[in-house]
Amino acid sequence: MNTLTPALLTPAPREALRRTLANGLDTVVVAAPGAPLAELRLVLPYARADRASVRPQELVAAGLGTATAGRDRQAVADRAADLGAEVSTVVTAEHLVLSVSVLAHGLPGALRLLADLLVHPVYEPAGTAPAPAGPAAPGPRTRLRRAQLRHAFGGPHPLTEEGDAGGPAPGTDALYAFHRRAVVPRGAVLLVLGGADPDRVLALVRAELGGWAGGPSGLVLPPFPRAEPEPGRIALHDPAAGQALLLTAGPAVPAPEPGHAALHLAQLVLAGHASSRLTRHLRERHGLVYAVDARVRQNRAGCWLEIDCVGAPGTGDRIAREVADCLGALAESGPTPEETRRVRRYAAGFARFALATRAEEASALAGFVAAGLPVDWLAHWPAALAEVTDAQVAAAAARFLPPGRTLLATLDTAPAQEA
Amino acid sequence: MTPEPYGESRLDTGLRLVTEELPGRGLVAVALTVAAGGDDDPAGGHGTAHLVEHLMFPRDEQDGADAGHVALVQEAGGMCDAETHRDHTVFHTVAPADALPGLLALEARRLLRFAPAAATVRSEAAVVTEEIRAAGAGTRLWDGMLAAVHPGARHAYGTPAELRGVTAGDAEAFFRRRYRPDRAVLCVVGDVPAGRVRELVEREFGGWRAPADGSASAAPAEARTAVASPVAVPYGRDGVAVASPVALPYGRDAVAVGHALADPRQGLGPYVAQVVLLEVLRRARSAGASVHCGYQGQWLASAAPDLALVLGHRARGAAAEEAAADWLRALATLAAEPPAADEVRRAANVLRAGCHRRADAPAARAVAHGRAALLFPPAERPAPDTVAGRLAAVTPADVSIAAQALLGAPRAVVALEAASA
Repeated sequence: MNTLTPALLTPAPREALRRTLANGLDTVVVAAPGAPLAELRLVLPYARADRASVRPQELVAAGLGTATAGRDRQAVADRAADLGAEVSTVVTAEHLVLSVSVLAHGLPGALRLLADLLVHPVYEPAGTAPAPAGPAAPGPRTRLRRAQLRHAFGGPHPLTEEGDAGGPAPGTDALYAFHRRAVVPRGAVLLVLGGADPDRVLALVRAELGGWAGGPSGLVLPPFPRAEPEPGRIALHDPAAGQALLLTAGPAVPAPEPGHAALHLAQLVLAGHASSRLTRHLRERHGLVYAVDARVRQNRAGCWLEIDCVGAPGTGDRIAREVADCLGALAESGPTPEETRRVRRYAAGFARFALATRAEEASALAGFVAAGLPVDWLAHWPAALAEVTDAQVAAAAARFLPPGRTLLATLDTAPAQEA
Repeated sequence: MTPEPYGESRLDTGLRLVTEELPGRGLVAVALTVAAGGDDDPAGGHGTAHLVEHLMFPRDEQDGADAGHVALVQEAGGMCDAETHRDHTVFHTVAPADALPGLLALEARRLLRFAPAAATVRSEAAVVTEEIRAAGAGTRLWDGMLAAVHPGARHAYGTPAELRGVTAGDAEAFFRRRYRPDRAVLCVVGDVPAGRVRELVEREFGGWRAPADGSASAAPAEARTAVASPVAVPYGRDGVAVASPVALPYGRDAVAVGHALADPRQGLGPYVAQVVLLEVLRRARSAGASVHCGYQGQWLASAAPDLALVLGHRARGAAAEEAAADWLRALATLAAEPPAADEVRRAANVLRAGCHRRADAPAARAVAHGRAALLFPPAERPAPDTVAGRLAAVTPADVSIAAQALLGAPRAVVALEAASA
């Protein structure tokens, strides 16, 4: 085994208590002794169900956490401020994440407020302004993303189809109905990270959220029709795009399956940090792109290796050609030992940043649990990277990076010459 | 001396070292804070400090004969950035704790080898110019209001026309004059014993010394061109500005009110009370106006003269003073009568939670320690964990006094007009 990476100072995983409550809520309490704040993350499955539900889904996400039957918006804001709490929501392709950050002494009150928001929500009627004639046209990036995934993995699928169906704004009845379907404990994950005794925190969660019921919602992404991306070259044309965009979809292996760590290192040699081949070649040497990145994307729909470039208008063809050349060279010859040494170190260090603050740590850990990974997955990641041999990284490059296995999709201001 | 788990010492070169042990995360943050900011730009060279900050990140030589600073930090598993303010520049890096020896060597190397080529200066000046362009109208509003309430003050971004004239010699002269160990604080926060930090810093930074010719020992502020405010606010009685007859272009019709904030170096208490006052107003008493405390909404980001900015509604054709009246009345109400204790507690709690969130990040802690040590007198240092305590101690009476002080301080009232108007 080639272990060129110096032994990293790896912090011990935190003590975590995980229980599924009687209402089905998957609850994780993580001890962070001495923390002045407690962090709560409630992760609800929230993938798009059907086109007709898009508007209620958006409006519920916008209104959740703002008012309850007993407290209007101002009263909720005042109660949160009393506790030193900040409440926010984020929606991804798969989840709605409701986050609460609160002064440590305010944790019991924050759990009570959270229960009130979940069990007794109030949604305001939509404004009286006339409904828009139709949905806003998707931007260049969204159109390229949908085309990339549709070509690579087939359709129909929620990630490749148009969004809002347009029409009049849904009434509040539709919002309450969608809330009853989507905002439910069974299938959701609640993570609490803070300085209080974990058993006491778990008892508080049981007491405050035990009356919340329902689910599962079934709002999970279905798998793509194809598991492996279809290679090829597609080119979209939009004179008003203002820049050239490239997205690729290549084969990949998701975490935590064997082989993911080796692929991650091979991908970093390709792009993702300052010394990566594409960064040096496309940006530093040729000035061809403003930004270049690569990552293994995974969700319940599928897994793919994606390169993401943004360049000047009219450069889409050239970027696609250069990316294919870099993929081919790396797949054929593999990374140099020096490149592998660099990315090992970079990968191990960068993973640590996900835990740099308690807020980031809570978000990362809740995300792992919601994705089906162990709560301490990241703590073992540096060791997993260190165990990968140089030969395994080269093998991953040879297997996953050949341009003949990759879809290259561009959107540019001028029609492509090579698609 | 024996370093404390959280403590400060001084090397014989004059460099101050602040250390804080933060066990358990496996990370270390390094912040080098230098007393060289936009206010130190030479006459005709507005933006020199910002440009020198960029030049402190040497790029790699062609085809990787010598990797650039960012690449080397990333290879150590870290990431780095920098900020130029009016009164200081700070370079901050965070990485796995066992990378500290390498990080400190890199930090010292870029100080000891600073000698930018003319072509590098030209290309980085172009990058800085692009940053200025991208900053847009929002930044121009802040800068106009800053100059209005603090005559002579100007932002640290720079002026493209002046940046074009800055040579490699100018940049190097600025560096030699302003980047000196006796004008800098190095702060190391993280999972490394303080004693080990001191050993490493002495080893790596021992060779960084002030120029032997003594040319910059006092480093006095250079004379520079007086900055004219685009708002041109004439000052009336008691140093309080009256409304400007000049409207600023903006994305919509509005009114902007700028207030000079208390100087935190003269007393952290009155400054923090003004921060709470503005949060009380923002939460429920602002009459629809948006309230921003501190330059670009960041309070205590520097010790330079600071301001609060209030953006309110203004009907087309309405005078600025008329549009600002509701806001000034809300302020006067609090000056006349302290707010309820609940209001102050809520505002302080929200601010305290924000302080704790920021102070949780090792890099933010290192930056805060460095600024506190470099820019503030010992009795008024806003160290990361002390500000939250000061916020909690603010009383309704303090808030009322803060409102009186804000009303008595310089202010500017300016009409903003939509570009299409």
